[in-house]
Amino acid sequence: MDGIPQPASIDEIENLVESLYQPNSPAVVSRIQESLQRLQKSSDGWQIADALLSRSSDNVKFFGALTFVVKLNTDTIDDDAARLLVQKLISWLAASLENGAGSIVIRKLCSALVTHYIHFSHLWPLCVRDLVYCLDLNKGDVLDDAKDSAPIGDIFPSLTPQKAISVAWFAAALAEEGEKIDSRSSKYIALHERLVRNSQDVATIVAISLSGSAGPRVQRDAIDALHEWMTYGERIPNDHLTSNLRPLLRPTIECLLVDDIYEAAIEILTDALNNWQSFFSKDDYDLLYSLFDSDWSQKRYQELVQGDFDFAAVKFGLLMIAFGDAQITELLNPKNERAQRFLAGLLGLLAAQGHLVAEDKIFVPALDFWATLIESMTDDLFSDPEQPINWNIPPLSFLMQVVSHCWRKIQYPHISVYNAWDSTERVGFSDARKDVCDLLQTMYTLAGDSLITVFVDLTTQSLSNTAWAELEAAAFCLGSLSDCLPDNDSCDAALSKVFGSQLFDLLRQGHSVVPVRTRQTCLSLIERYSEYFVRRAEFLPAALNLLFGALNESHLAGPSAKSIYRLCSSCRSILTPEVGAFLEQYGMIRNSVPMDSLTEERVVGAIASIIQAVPEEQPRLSAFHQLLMLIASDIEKAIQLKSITFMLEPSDPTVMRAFDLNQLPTHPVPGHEVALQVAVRALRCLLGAAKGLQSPSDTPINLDADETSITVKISPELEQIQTNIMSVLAQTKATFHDSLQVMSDINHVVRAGFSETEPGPFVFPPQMVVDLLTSPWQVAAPTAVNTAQVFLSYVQNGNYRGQMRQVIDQLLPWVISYIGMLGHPSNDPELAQFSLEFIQKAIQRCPDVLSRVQPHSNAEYIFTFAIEMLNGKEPLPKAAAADFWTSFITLKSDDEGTQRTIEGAMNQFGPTLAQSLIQNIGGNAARSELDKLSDPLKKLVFQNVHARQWLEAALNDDSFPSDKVTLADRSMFLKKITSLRGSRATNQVVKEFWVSCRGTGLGYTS
Amino acid sequence: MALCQMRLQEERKQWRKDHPFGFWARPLKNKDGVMDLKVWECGIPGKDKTLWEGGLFKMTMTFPEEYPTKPPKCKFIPPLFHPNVYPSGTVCLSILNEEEGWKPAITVKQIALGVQDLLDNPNPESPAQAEAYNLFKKDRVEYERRVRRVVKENAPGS
Repeated sequence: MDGIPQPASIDEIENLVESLYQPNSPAVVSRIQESLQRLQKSSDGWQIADALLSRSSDNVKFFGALTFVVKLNTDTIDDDAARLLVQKLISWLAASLENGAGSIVIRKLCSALVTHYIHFSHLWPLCVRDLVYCLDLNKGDVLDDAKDSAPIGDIFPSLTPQKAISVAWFAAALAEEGEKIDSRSSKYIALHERLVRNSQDVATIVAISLSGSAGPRVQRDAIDALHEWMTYGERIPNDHLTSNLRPLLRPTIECLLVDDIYEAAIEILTDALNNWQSFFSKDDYDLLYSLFDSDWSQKRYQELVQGDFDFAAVKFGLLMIAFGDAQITELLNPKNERAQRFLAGLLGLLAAQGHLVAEDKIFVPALDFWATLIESMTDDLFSDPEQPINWNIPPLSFLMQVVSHCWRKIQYPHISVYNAWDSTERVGFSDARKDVCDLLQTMYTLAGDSLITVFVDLTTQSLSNTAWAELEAAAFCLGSLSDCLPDNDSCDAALSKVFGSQLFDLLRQGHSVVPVRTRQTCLSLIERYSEYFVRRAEFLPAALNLLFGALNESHLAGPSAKSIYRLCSSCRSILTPEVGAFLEQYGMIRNSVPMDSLTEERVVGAIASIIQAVPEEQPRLSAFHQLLMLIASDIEKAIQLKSITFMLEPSDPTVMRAFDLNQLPTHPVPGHEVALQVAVRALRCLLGAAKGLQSPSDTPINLDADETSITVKISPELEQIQTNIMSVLAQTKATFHDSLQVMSDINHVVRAGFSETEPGPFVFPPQMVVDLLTSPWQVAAPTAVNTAQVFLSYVQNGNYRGQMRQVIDQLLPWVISYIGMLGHPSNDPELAQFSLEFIQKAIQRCPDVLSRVQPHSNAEYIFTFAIEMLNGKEPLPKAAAADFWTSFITLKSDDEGTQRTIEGAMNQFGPTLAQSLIQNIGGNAARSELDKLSDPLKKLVFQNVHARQWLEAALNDDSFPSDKVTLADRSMFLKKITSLRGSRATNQVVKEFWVSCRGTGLGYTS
Repeated sequence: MALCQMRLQEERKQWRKDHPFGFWARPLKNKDGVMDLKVWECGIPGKDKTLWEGGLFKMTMTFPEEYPTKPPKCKFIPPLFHPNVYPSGTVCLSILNEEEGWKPAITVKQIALGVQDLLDNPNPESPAQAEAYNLFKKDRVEYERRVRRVVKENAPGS
C-alpha cells in the first residue's frame, strides 16, 4: 500500500478523508485517493457512505454523499433497496440542513438524489414535489405519502430559506443532468417524459422564490434553476415544458431591478435572447421595450456610454445587443418608432468613452450587431427593389452616424497610451479595425460612392486641421473601400480631392511633421488606388517621388517598395518615357540608401515592368542593358570578395549593402560570407527583373500558330543581352557552386522566362538553357533536373517547339546519367522524383527517343528504376512513379518501330508492374496514396489484354504482403476490378481491399 | 434555404462573435457587391514564437454545395512554400479530407486554427510539394531561411 494502510474502521476512514485536505505532496494525495476509491468501490461502500454522513465534519459528510453517487453509478440494486435509499438520502438532506452543514454537503446530497432519479425515476416520478413534501416534514420516510399532500404551491412557501435553496439546487441539477442524457434513445424516453412532468412544480417553486418574500439568495438560486431548465428546454424542445416555464420570464425581467440579483437575471435573459428567441412572447418583448425606456435603463445606459466598463455595466450593453439581434425585423421597420428609439441606443454603444478594446469592451460586440443589421438591410432591399429608400429617416439615417462613430473609435491614441497596452490589447485593437473595414465594405453595397465621399471629406478635413490620428483613420477607411469600387472613373473626382491636395507635400516632409503610422497608412492609399493613377497620370509623378523618398526610412521602405512595384506595374505604359529617370534614381539610391534585399528586389522589378512596356526594341533593350549592368556589377563584386582572405569591418560600405538592416553584423565578417550575401542579393534583383519583364497576364496569345511556321527572330542586341545574362549566371554558378541558396536562385531566374511567349531577355533560346543545365551542379542536381522538366513544357508551349527532339536528345542522357549514378532511388528521393518526371515528359513528347537511348540497357534501367520508385516508401517519388506508369501504359506512337518498342517494354515489365501495384494495394502503401496508385491499375485493366493474367499472378504470389485476406478474397478483388474496366469506382474497391489486407482498426492512421 | 447556406450564415455569425486573434475571414463579394457565402477569403497569421511569426498568409476557403457533409477546399494565394501545401496552393490537412478527419461539426474557426497549427508543424507523412518537403527533411537551415523569407514577403504592411 506504499505507506498508506487500508483503514479498518470508520474513524480511520474519517482520518484518511481529512488527510486529503491537509498539505501533502501530489504523490501522497494520489495514494490517499486511490485508497479511498478502493473503499468506495468495495461491497462495504453503502455502509461507509451512510456512516460518514453521520459525522460532524463537512469534508467527511461530502465524501459520504459522493460515495452514494459512485455506488449508484456502479452498483446494481433492486427497486426495494432503491426505495429505501431515496428515503435515506432525503433524511440525510433534511438532517444536514437542520444541523447547519455547509453548502458543499447539501449540493452533493442534491446531486446524489439526482443520480438516484436518473436511475430510478419510476419510483418517485414527481421528485420535486416529493422532496418539498419530505423537507417540510423533515424526514424521508414519508415519501410515499407525498402524492396525497397539499399542492406544492401551498407547502413550499413555508420552507425555511435554506430548504428552499436546496430544492432550487436539486431542481437545477436535475435539468443539468437531464440535458446530458440522450433524448433520442428509446431507453431514456420515459425519463425525459417524467422530467417534463416535473416542470410544472419547478415553475411553481421558481415563481414563489422570484416573488422575493424569502430574500435575494432564494431568488438568485431560483433564477439559476430556471436557467438550467431553459437550457434543457432549448436543447430538448417540448411544448408542455415551454408553456410551464414561459410565465416565469416576466418576473425574471422584473428581477433586473433588484441589485442583488441583477447579474443572475441579466445573464439568463441575454442567454435566452441569443439562443431561444421563440421562447419570448410578444408581451415579454413589450415588457423589455418599456424596460429599456425606463429611467432605470437610462441610468445604466448612461453609465456605460460614459465609460463605465465594469462587468455589470458591460452586461447591460450585451443585453441590449442580444435584444437587438432578436428584434432585427422590427428594427428594420422605419415606421416602428419604439424600435427606432431603441436602435438609437444601440448606435450610442459605438460611441462610448474610452479606448477601443483596452478600455471600451462594448464597441466590438456592438459593431458585430451593426454588421448583421446592415447585411439584413441589404438583403431586405435587394429582395424588394421597389421599396422606397429614404436616407433621411432611421434606420438608414443612422448608418452615416455608425460610420462616423467607427472612424472616431479606430483612431490611434497617443503613442504613450498605445505603448502602455499589452500585446493582447494591441492585437485586439487592430482586429477591431479590420472588423470596421468589413462593416464599411458591407455598407458600400448600400451606400455606394457616397461612402467614398464621406471619407474623402474626412481625409481633407483632417489634413487641413493637421489632426494626424484622424487623418490616419480616414485614410485607413478610404483604403479599405478600394476593392469595392467599380472599374470606372465614377469616384475619380472625389479621389482627386485627396491626391491633388497638399497630402503628398506634407508626407514628404518626413516624420518630424507627420507621425510614421499616419504616413504609412497614407502611402498605402497610393497602392490601393493604383488603378486611379492609371487614369489620372498627372498625379503619378508626385506619388512615385513620395514613395521613392520613403525608401530612405526603415519603417516605410518595405511597404513603399511594394507600392512602387504595384504602381509601376499598373502604370507601366504611362511611365515608359520616364524609364531613364527611374534607372538613374535606382543607380543613385543603391549606393546611398541602405535597403533590404526584398525592398531592392521590388524596386528593380518595378523598373523592369516599365522597361517591359517600352514599345520600341532598341530603347527597351538599352534600358534593360543599363539595369543589367548595375546588377552585374554586384555579381562581379561578389566574385572578387569570394577570394579575399581577410575580414571586413561592419562599417565597410560593402558589408552595409550586403546585409539586411536587422541582420547587420556587429563584428568583422569574413569576405566569403559578405560575398555570398552580395551574390544572393544580386540574384534576387535579377529574379525581380525577370519577373518584372514578364508580360502582363492580359496580353493575347496566338493559339493558331502552327509548329512549322514559327520562326523566332532575335535581334543581335537581344542575343547579346541573353548571352550576358547567361554569362552572369554561369560565373555565379561556378564561384558559389557549394551554396544551395545561390543554385536555387539561379534556377528560379532561368525558370522566370519559361512562362513567356514573346522574345525577351530571359526568354532564352533552348540551346543556352541546355548548356547551362548540362554543366556540373554538385549540391543542386535535383533543382537543375526539376528546371529541366519545367523547361520541356516551355519548349513544347513556346516558339521553340520545333527544337523539342534536339533538346530531349541532349538532356535525356544527362538525366539518365544522374539516375545511373544514384543506384537506388532511395539514395536521393528528390533527384529520383524529378528525373522520372523529366523522363515521363520526354517519352510523352517524343516516344521514339526510347529506341534511341544508348546503350539499350539504359532504357531497361529506366523501367527498373521506375518500379523501384513505385515500391519505395517515399510518398512523392511513389506518386511520380505512379504517374510515369499511368502515362506509359497509354503511350502510343504512329511509328511502327517505336510502337513495337513500347509494346515490348510493356510486355517485359508488365508482370513486375502488376506485382508492385498489388504489393502496394495489398497493404504496403499508405492509405493516402491509394488514389494515385489506382490510376495505373485502371489504365492497365482497361488497356492491356494481359492485365488480368499479370494481376492474378501477383495476387497469388508468395510475396503478397498480407495474410488477412484469403485467396478467394483476392480472386474476388480481381473479378471486381476487371469488371469495372478501369472506371472511377475502382478506387473504392481498392481502398476496401487495402483495409481488408491491413486488418481493421488501421484505418487512417497510416 | 439550402443546408449549406444556412450553415454558412451561422458560421459567419459565429466568426463575427468569436474569432481567434490576428485572423480575419469574410465571404467574397460578387460583381454586384452581394456576398457569396460559398467563397471566403481569410488571413492566417503565423503563430507567435515560431518561425512563422510576423507573416499573415492569404487563403481562400471554397465550400462545396454538399457542405457541411463535404469539407471546404483551402487554398493559399499565392501558393505557399510549405511541405503540406500543393504547388497549386491547396492545403493538405487531415481535417480537410472527406475520407479522413473531416466532420460536419468542424467550424471555420477550427479550420483556420488547424491551418495555423500546420504551418509550424508540417506533417512529413503527407508531403504535397517536393521543394519545401525535401528541404524540410534534408536541409533544415535552408528550409528555415526560405520560411523566413516567405514570412517577410507576407508581413502585413510590407
